[in-house]
Amino acid sequence: MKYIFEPIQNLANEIRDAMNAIDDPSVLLKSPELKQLYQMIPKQSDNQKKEFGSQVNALKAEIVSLVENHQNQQEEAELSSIDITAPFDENCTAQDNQLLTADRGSLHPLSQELDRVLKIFEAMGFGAIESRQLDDDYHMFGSLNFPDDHPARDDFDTFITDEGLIAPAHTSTMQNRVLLANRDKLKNGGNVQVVVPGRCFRNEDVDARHEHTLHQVEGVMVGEGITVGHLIGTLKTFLEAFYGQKLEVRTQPAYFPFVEPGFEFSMSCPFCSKVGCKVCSNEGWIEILGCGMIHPNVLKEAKIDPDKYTGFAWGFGLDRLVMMQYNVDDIRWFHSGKIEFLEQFK
Amino acid sequence: MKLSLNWVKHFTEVEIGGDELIQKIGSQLGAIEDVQDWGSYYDEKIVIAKITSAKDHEDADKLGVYNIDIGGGQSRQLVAGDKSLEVGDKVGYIPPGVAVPLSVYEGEPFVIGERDLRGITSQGMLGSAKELLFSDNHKNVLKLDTDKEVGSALVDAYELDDLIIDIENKMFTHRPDLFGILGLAREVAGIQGIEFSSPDWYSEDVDFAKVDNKLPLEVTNEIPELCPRFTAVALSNITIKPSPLIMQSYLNRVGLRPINNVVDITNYYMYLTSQPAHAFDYDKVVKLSGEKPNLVVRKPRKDEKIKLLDGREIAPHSEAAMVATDLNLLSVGGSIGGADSEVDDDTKTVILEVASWNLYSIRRTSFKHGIFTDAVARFNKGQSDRQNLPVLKLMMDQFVNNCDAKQASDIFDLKKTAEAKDIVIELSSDFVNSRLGSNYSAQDIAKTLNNVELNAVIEKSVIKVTVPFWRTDLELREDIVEEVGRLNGYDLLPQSVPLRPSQPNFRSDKLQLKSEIKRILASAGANEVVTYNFVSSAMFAKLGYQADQIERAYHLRNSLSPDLEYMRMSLLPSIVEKVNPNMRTGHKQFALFEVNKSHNKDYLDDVGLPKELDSLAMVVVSNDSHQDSSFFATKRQLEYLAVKLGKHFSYHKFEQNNDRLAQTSGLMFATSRRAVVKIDDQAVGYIGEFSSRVKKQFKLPEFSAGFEIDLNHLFPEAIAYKQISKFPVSNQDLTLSVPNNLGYAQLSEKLGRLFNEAQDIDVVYEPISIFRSKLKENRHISFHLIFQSPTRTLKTTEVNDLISRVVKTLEQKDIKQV
Repeated sequence: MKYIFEPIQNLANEIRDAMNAIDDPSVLLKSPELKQLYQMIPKQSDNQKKEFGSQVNALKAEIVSLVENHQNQQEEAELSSIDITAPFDENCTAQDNQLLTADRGSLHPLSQELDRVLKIFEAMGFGAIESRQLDDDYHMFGSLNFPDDHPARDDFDTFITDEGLIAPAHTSTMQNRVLLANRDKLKNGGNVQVVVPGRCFRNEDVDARHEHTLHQVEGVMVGEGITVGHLIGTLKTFLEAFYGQKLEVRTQPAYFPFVEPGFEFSMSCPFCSKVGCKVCSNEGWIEILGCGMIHPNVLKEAKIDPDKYTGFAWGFGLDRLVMMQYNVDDIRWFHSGKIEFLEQFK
Repeated sequence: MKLSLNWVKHFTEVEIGGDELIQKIGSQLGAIEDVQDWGSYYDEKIVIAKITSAKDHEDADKLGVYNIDIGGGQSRQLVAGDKSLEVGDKVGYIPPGVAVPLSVYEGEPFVIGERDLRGITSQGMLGSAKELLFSDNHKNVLKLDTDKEVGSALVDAYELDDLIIDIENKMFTHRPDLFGILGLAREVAGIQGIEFSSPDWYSEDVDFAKVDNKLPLEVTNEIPELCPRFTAVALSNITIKPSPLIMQSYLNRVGLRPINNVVDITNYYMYLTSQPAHAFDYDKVVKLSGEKPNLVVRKPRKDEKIKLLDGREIAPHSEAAMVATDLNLLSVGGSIGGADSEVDDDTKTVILEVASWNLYSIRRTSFKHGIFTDAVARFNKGQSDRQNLPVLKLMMDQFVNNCDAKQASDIFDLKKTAEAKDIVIELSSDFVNSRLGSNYSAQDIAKTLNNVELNAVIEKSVIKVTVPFWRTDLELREDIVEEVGRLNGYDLLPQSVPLRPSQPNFRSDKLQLKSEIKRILASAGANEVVTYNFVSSAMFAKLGYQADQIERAYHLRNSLSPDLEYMRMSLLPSIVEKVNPNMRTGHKQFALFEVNKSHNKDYLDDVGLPKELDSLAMVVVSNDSHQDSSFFATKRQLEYLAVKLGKHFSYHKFEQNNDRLAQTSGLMFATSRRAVVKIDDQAVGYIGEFSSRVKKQFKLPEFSAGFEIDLNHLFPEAIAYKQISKFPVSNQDLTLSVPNNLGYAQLSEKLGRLFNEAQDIDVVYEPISIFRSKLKENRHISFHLIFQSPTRTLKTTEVNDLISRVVKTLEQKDIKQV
């Protein structure tokens, strides 16, 4: 950096030279010359005062950063170099060096529950692939029967990059890919059966109940003769396996452009047997997921004949499942990285 | 969308009770947000009373003293802050001991008492329109316009015993007709299995009278692609006054503010039919026009501005659909009116507009200018242009009835297409049943559809559905399946799990790998964290990233805050951020890890999308003192993982390169304490102790190191099983003095090669200790050696000979046995 005022530039030159010559350059911060420069500020003419002041400050900042870099370099130079290929340090024996205390380890509750969810779906014949965390408009909306400028897009507050890429608001962003990749199975009388876990993003402020980063599990099943009855039956079977008890389920019509018909899906509360408790807000019922029969336009977009094949899809939030399961009262714990939270899930 | 049950009952029977109906609406129409029992706001004792005498209060300027007849031969004396009441006026009387309806509505009941007002006892209260929940008007006592006799309950006079059922708007994104009471009534009939008939006026066959005394007015449409139909009529001789109270009450119940008879008509019938309308003050339009009074539907000209009814002034975007004159903008078409042509108390003549607008254009304009009105909420769902004329006629008749208006122009009807054609959808009962899993006959299906006027006839077992004009959402057979399933109730369908070929199906290899790695590291004592994809420029500054590095991170154009504006390029910084908060809460030694994705503009897949770069990152920290350095503590975690996955990592001098991890996480390490991790010759990740800068910026303890590895290189290797020998093993220890310039790995590799040159003997060795001699030129490295032959028992001499041979060869390289 060049300084336009001569006394400032002169001091800058001096200090840059002195930096490597002295042992503790931090004394430079207290140099009387710097103090003098500060004292000169009020003596400048009115039209120069501001500029002069800011240049003095800039010099101070430069010195601070030079000193810091110098210290960092020195500290690192003091670190002896090590044999990076060795199993342990010098003057050590194999016995001295254990792993961490193994019983401290923990799996994040989202990972644990996802594992349980996937195991049940695997047993029910579903494969699984992971969802994307950055995708394009076509997969997030276009392939899912959302025309451009359609008001149905208003229900999704998505994050968008400068390039127009989307941090997906739902795992359905994978639906077209999953259908395309698995459609060959249909020819042999098989089904497309895949669940898609992944991260989703909603452009909303974080509080105890809301997060901009969420985890969803999407599911897709397509085949010949797949019906709404199968949709309800499949989800009921999963929920009963997950909660280890018989449940009642019910649907509410809902609108999502990528299904027809679409539903909100509720189950009787597994924590109170429908009597009413905190988890179900004393309703006896919990709205647990959104689902529906895959819209023929979505099937067509994946080159699947909607006259011959039908199918269903669903999506639910993993975070909420975990919160209900363990009575976690604040969603912010999930991304807190706090050990007092994590170590409870060993 | 608020459904008033009493309003619905104007059009259909409701045969089931409130609770059952609410349950049915929730499961067959759409999720319910809220239910208000409107009748519960009105105590039965609030009655219609009549003023029998009126005088001014002698000791108070603003108070009137009234005697009222409350029926049953009883009278009361009231003092009211309103001196305008006259003998014969009907009013709403709230007796002592009864709560004011407004206060019940607001949840804090205010009970009226008998009280003394400047020496005169007031035996109760006469309600204002606001207090009785008719409108916002709180200036005067509300004068009732009812024919009901004195003493009867107010609740009965205005159909106030109502249920207001608020259904989530997003349920109806595809249903333009359900933004009106008429459409809701049709569905309420349908879900009860009752046949619905639209009222006669809701028909495309409308006749209008020709008028003789026409006011001058021209109407033209320059943008039929944005405004497919524009209908209008001028109405003169208008008297502005309040609307009938029943109309005000219904508007108020559903959340619309009563204003005056003209505005209320457009709102009330919009809420009934879901067709928005707008009234312009004709005389103001005349002044805003050039030579001839005119309306033009057009785009705005450059620099044209308009003052909106909400008080804002905007310069509409160049593609906005506007209603204007040749000279001035009048309203944002289908969205919001303009202040300069607004109907006011002096209005005598209006132009009533009932138009249709392109839903995409409406939405774009709404978002560009932040206009979210009831009209926008309806037009952006795609209203049918075939209801314009019936609704225009309906509203016109109300102007004649409620505002004493006269038709003052012919009907203008500018439309894009000549004749609308009905959509016909043909399907079979099989099509329906194979999608619902139901067993409906064609007759069952036709009846269900006909109940809601989806005209279904059966011809040779084909069900032909002629879609009525208001259902702009119905196009496909699947849409009809939805109607049948929903109107009959999905929850009654037989439920089953689909049959499938019994083939196994598993999660992807990558998901399996992730879950396995997490389990391995947790079992080694580390804690799994999940952290955000979003990072800040402040974080990049802390890491010392230069502008060209930051360039590679995807930047969000609509991030919630600067803390979350970039997509991360590696995981390690996010984990490092979690260290200090845990140190502060007393955790002294721990390891955090995450398995997740990051993104980098330099890495695109085959179709040009950003690659999803999976990696594993870990941080190991401690506040305690340790025998060895944090580098090795961290390396041991990685080596443990390698063993479990059957991988072999090698560690090499860090060299700067273009690898994404070298450019990000790799830069976080101290130059003397970092390494490239390789499998064969492939760099797969970076490990090291954090640099002084990182330690300072993230407040890390001295003992802190980490690594980040590309996950794609960690897929586990198959186990290579070796036959187990039946012969005994022979154990030996060996300590070597090794020059400093020879790395441990090189030594180990040599040992392995030399020992395995021996035929028929397997040698396994592991390190015991590493010591630096006093001279500091050599290190003493001790190994434990295990010798075994697959074919025979080894003799001690044989083993010793082998060791000697190896040591001799090593001596050539300056490595000596100690």
